Amino acid sequence: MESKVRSFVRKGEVTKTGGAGGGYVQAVGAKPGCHGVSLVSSGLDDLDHILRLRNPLSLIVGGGIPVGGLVMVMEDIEAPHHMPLLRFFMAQGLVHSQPLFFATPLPSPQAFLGTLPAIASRSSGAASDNTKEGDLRIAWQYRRFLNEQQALEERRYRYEFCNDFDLRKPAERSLFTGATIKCESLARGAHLDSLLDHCRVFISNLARYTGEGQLVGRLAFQSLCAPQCMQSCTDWEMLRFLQSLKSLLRVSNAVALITFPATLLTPSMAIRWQHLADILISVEAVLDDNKEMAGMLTDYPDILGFLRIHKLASINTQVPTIPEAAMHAMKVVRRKKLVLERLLFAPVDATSGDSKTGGAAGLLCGRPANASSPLDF
Amino acid sequence: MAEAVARLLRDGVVVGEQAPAVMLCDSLQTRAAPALFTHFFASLTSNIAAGRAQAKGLVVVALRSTPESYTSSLDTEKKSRSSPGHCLQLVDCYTDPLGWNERIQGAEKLGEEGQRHTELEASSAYSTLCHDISDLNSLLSIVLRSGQAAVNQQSKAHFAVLIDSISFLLHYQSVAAITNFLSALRSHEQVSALMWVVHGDLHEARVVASLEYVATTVIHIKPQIHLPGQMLETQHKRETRHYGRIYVRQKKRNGRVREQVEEFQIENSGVKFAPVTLMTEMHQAVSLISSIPKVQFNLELSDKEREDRSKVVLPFEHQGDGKEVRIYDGRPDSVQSTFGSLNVVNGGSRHPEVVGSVAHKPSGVGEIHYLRDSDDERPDSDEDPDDDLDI
Repeated sequence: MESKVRSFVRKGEVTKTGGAGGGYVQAVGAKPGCHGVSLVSSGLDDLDHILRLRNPLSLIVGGGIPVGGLVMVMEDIEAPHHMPLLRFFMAQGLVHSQPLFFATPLPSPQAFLGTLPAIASRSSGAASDNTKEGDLRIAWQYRRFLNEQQALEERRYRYEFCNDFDLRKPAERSLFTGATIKCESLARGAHLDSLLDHCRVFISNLARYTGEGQLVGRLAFQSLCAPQCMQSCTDWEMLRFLQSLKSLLRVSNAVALITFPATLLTPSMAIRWQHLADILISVEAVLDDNKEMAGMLTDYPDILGFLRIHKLASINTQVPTIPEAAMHAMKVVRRKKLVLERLLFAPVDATSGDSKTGGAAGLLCGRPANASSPLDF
Repeated sequence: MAEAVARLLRDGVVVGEQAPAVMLCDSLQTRAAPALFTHFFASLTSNIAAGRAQAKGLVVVALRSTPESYTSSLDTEKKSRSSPGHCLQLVDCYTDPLGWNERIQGAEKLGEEGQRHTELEASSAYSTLCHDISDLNSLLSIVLRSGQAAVNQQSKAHFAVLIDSISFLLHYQSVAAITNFLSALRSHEQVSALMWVVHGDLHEARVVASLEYVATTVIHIKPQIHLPGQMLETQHKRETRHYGRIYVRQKKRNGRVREQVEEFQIENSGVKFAPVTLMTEMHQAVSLISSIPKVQFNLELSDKEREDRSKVVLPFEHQGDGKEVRIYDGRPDSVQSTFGSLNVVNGGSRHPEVVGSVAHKPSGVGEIHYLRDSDDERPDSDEDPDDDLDI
């Protein structure tokens, strides 16, 4: 198959500055996406699926975080649902041996690294493949193509784009040895000049890897506008830091994930932060023992929180993508896997409600609610 | 629920986690936070004295009122027990928060300084004077020292910290410093519970949000909601600040938020809480699910209508009593007279097979014998239903 002459040439020129600037990134863990942008996984295959663009190619290729993009997650101050998203992002980077930069207001970031999830152990798939082949009755002339196809797939997918993580198990120690991880604690205040310098150094180190061994770096910032971080800088300085970070990311092979509690900022500042993001997600807490919500949603007891997609990436394109469904429910399945599902609304009972309002026919035949006279209908 | 919060303060910290932090937030309309604070203070002291609480000591940082206001309420109750200063320590930030008295006294009378110190020491068996609230590090160390004194210097014993009014501290400190101070208290291994009061309308929304960020339980004190019908009643009652509602939002460990509402009433003896039924719960009365869809015309039958329906005589059907069945077809004359004059016999000329149960009257009166083949005969069957008439 490789010997065939192809009329299309893959746009995979190696460039010094990768990222969204030009060409796809040939790196472990990156796959080509739409509009000339490479994608890396967020660690959650449901989230990758939600982040894909709405065109036919994306439906085949799937989605992910564009290299050079900035993902922002608006936290809810009442619930820690942004932490699993951070953990999956960082764990995926570790599995793909991608360099990691982590800044947090926690006093010891290394302790947080110990909470990263491990890859879920799967039942062996090789045995099932052999049995499939045994059951499949292939005409003899096509058997050689089947073997070739399998060999090709094995070579291409030496690693998975998005791994399945198990929340119960901590990540293996072997992942940390040899991994490039830079941690920074912002507990005494975010000294933004030095932080930006560290980010710049980290990103410029990525540019040293060229050719086949390119690396995509991941930067993770937790609770960037928490009170501990903001004690040493003003709002405008923080905004300038974000703008500088975004400009650094755009011309590099790196992605960044920033979580911030938006209610702790003034409204105008919060809006500016949201505009800076390429992908904007918010997580919301769910009320416990709320009868209204229990009546509306079928799987209310299992829901951990809500995830809302506000903005999807539109790098190298002028057409913005509107996400299919704005709100997703976060659930933990069997205590080990985090899934994001569309909300399932309970079927509305036609006879429920007051008899005065009437059913569907009543709504159709009746007059509008704010009609001034009985003659309006 | 206020009892749940009191239990939370009593049970204290779980191993491996930080201390629970309760925030009381009121506004100008209710101004009830001091009364609620005193209520929780009283319940916690009684729990500590009875040995039910995890904390063995209590530190109150008095910013809003004098330390004596707390000890006096304690003295009246527990005069017979061991000295109240044994488990209760006060940090007095009310008398001289900015150190003005100290500076004035220090400048004036140097000679009597030694005496004054001993006086202060004597009065501070359970109360420590803080002269500088703008230095949060020193305040933190004073609080921790008082806590250790409250538990008799036992390094493993827990103590609870209650802060009178964070709003007062926020005048002199940035919100980041205050949140650091509260987080440091929460993460200290000997602190079992933490509670503070803030006046929500004195600060910006982001300041209150930052304090909520640190707290695990937030109690919003709001004025009572008056339904239109009740307005006249309350006008005769006492001022509205004696009543109100508390909205308790608790962050649970599984990431969910529990919100509960209760009404409270401030009386001379204390604060009384009463559950409240929310409007949403009132509307969730059990609705009978009937199979009849709700449309604009009435499909149901009343009893009288049901009775009348059973009495309706269906046309062309034997009633089984042998009498002739008279069918009214709109003509004013009776059928009998008309047919009699015409001499029409509608007997069995068409249908020779006459049902023998009915007596055939040769008097010229028409009879219609309708025999229904089956009860569930469909009206639009292929056969002409009129074929069944035996006229």
